[in-house]
Amino acid sequence: MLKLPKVLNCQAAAEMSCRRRDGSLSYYQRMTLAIHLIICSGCRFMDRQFALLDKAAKTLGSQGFLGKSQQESTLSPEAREKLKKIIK
Amino acid sequence: MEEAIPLDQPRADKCPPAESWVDQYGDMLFRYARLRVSGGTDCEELVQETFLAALKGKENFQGQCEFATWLVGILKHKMMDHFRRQKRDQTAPLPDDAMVEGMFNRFGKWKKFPRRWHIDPQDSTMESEVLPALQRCMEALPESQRQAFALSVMDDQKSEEVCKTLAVSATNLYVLLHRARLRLRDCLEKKGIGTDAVKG
Repeated sequence: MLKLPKVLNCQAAAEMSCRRRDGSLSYYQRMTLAIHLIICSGCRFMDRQFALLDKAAKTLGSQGFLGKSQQESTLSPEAREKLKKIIK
Repeated sequence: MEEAIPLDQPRADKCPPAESWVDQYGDMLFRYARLRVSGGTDCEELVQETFLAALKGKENFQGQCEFATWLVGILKHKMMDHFRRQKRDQTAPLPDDAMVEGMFNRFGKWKKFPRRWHIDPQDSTMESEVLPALQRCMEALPESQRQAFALSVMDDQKSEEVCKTLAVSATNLYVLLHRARLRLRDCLEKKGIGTDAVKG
């Protein structure tokens, strides 16, 4: 008998949506996730938001430290002085 | 693995004088570490270790890349050592994350449904709003989730490498990444990302 993919709940769908990004899903898992995303708008948003999140994180990782967006993250004055004493 | 760092500096074949390092590169290195390692003191120590190693090995710098890139390369090694020093038990199941569990009811349904975000990744709000908010949300993540997310997603490292560096099993890495994403999504939404009202 044909085995139909069972319907996921949102919690499992969130897990699978991540798993698809980090590793791999079997055909069966991909199908169950796809079915859930068709019927659940909240998870559809979540799935797109995870994509945006990953993209933003990559941008932050490659450029974030150049300083545009993070004015507040700087060495403390004490650390700066200490470093200057050590490195001459 | 060399990263392109678009610093507005001419490419120098020799390393700049050591007296100028702290002012010129200190904050940049600190920020690089701060995104990946929690604890400002740890980050400052990593910057110090990096400068000391650079001081020792500056003869090896031949202008094969930007000096800043060379320093970041050293910092990366120091960070990996830092992660390895924090011993973990690879196989033990991770403790529950009550905050993530609390996002769903006992049937596994969202307690609060995700909203649609009105954001175009090409748009300028991505840089002006999403990145600063994401940085703050990442700083609020539990240490292990943050390290997993930083190495796997932000730095795009292979999962086998990340498992080795952080000494976690593959299954636990997946769990950490999944929890990190759910927390980050929730945190960004609470900051008003995707709506018109963005809170700091």
